[in-house]
Amino acid sequence: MGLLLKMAGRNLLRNRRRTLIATASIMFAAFFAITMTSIQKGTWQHTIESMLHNYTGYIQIHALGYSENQSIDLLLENNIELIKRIDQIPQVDKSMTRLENFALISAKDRTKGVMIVGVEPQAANEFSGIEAQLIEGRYLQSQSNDVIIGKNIASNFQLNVNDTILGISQGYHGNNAVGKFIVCGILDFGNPDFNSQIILTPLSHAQSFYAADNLYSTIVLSTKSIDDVPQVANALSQTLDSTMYEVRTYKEMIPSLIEVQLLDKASSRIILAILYILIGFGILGTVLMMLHERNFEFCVLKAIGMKSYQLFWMIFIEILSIGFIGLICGSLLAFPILIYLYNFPIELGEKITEAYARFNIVPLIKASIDQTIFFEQSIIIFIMVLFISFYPYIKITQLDPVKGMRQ
Amino acid sequence: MKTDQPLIQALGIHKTYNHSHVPVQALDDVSIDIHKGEFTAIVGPSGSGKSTLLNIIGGLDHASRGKILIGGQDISNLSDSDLIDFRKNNIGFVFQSFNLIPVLTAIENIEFIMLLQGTSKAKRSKRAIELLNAVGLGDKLHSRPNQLSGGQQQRVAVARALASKPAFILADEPTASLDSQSANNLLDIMQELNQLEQTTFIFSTHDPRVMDRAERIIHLVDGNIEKDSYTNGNIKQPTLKQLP
Ligand SMILES: Nc1ncnc2c1ncn2[C@@H]1O[C@H](COP(=O)(O)OP(=O)(O)OP(=O)(O)O)[C@@H](O)[C@H]1O
Ligand SMILES: [Mg+2]
Repeated sequence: MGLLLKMAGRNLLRNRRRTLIATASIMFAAFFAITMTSIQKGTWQHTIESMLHNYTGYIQIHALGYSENQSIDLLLENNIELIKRIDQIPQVDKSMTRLENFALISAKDRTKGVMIVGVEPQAANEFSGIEAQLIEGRYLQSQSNDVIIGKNIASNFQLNVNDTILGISQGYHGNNAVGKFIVCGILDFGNPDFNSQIILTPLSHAQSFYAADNLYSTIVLSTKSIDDVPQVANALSQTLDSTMYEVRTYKEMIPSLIEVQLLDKASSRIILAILYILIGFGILGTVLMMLHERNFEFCVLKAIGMKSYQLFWMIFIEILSIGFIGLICGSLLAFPILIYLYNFPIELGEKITEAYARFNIVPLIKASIDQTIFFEQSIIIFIMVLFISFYPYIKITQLDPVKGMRQ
Repeated sequence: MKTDQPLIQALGIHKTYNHSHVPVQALDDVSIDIHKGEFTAIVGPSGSGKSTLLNIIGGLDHASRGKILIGGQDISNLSDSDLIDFRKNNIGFVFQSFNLIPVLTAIENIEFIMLLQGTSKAKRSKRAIELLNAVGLGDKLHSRPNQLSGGQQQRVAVARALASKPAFILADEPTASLDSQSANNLLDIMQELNQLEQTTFIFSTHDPRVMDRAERIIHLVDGNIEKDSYTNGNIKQPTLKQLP
């Protein structure tokens, strides 16, 4: 084995220029694939995470059936034990509860359907940074009948801070929900739908408005990394009684965005596949040239007693080395760029930033530092090497020393 | 010196190549016995079938008809993979040129064949050094083939052929690409190994300077043995054809 490795190394050095070209092409492919994949992943991650932090969260837990008809009768009882158990899952970052329902509001002779949402003021602010998005007024104080309204609601109703709103809705178990709210702030959610539909109020006030003391509709979670979501969802499904609770991940909650992401991923996969096929054929060409040049040498080796598989192994090591040296060089080249883009994402031009501001997202080109991307590329390159080695394998098993040496 | 059971028996070997529309009859009913310790030259004009005969004896090529027995074992029916093992363990090969693996040094080239045989590292290097000393290249252990002259490369090839402790060594025109001094030098070494160690050598040549050195000379003409003689003038077998 030692001698075979030595031979492979020296053979690679024997025709340095060719080795260099072959290695460089793999390096280029690996560099391109790794940077592209990780920037794509990082950028999407940033976009989706910012979006989810606005309101949705990464995972939501409801009473079973809630997501289908969003009935005020399908609520969860305040259960400190349960929240504790959820917070104990190691990948869970933040959790909070919300009470959501539709309501009619009226002010200054106008009426409109909105969502009056009870939130834990402090937790919600930590989760979404609401206070920083206020256009006017101040943030919610707990135990008050404060509301923060979306900026479109404010303009529709021509509402200002300290104005009063009347709300009417269906409360828990057929109760009437009627109440008075005082506008304490006007908010730009960064999302037109939210701006014209959402009204935030302290959870305790929402509970008394909806006659749902100690009840809430939703537990909202975020995880340390968005990649942890499937794992956490799994853990939740296992700890929670499936006849009482339902667990929904962001993928079910923002399906159209996820679809766009998948489409984007698929198109870049196609580009990468074409790149790898082109480069694979390039390497195959080099390998064919090498086989041709060393035909006589291989014939002698077979004549003196080297088996086809031993001969193949020798060549395989060479091709594999080219592949992995290329991969390592490509990764080393990509690494500093990705680290940089991870720590200092590129901000896009003003126009794009404006367009995205509607969604309360700062559009960034960001890289993801994720070693699975490296492993994925190693596997792809290994498979490519296997494919490229197929021809030499056939060629070597069919090699006839007598014929080969006569030429 | 010669035992009764021949080391190599070729029995009625025919070889026809059918690659072109005109079949080429390279060997036409060739039978020979070669005993252990013989130093045999196969000579004849170009195209007379020398290489074909050596290749068939060495298990590199199959006869169209006839049998090859090595130490009594019929190798005609071995599978390709078994033949490779058979060659590795029983036959040493020296070809006309480019015998060596270019990226390995002299000593590594010799160790390589022993590695294929599964010899331990310590034994390998000990034997490789002995053999390189025996062929007069004790000072070139770590030279690569391209740092050696043609004659030196052929000597390394002989050393490699010996390394696997084969039953015999086949050398197809080992001196053809050498100047006469190197050719003589190589023959000296082969002869010495033959005399000291009883190594059986069969080599082909059409070089008159070299064929005189053989103990036995087999003349091939058009795929037939025309004459089979020992250098003491003893004609071993009457040839089928009448001499002119
Ligand atoms: N693979 C082959 N295909 C077709 N014909 C062949 C093949 N190998 C040998 N021959 C023919 O068989 C005959 C014997 O060839 P061989 O190589 O054995 O001769 P040789 O005595 O070794 O010649 P030389 O001295 O030139 O090496 C020649 O006519 C040759 O053209
Ligand atoms: Mg020949």
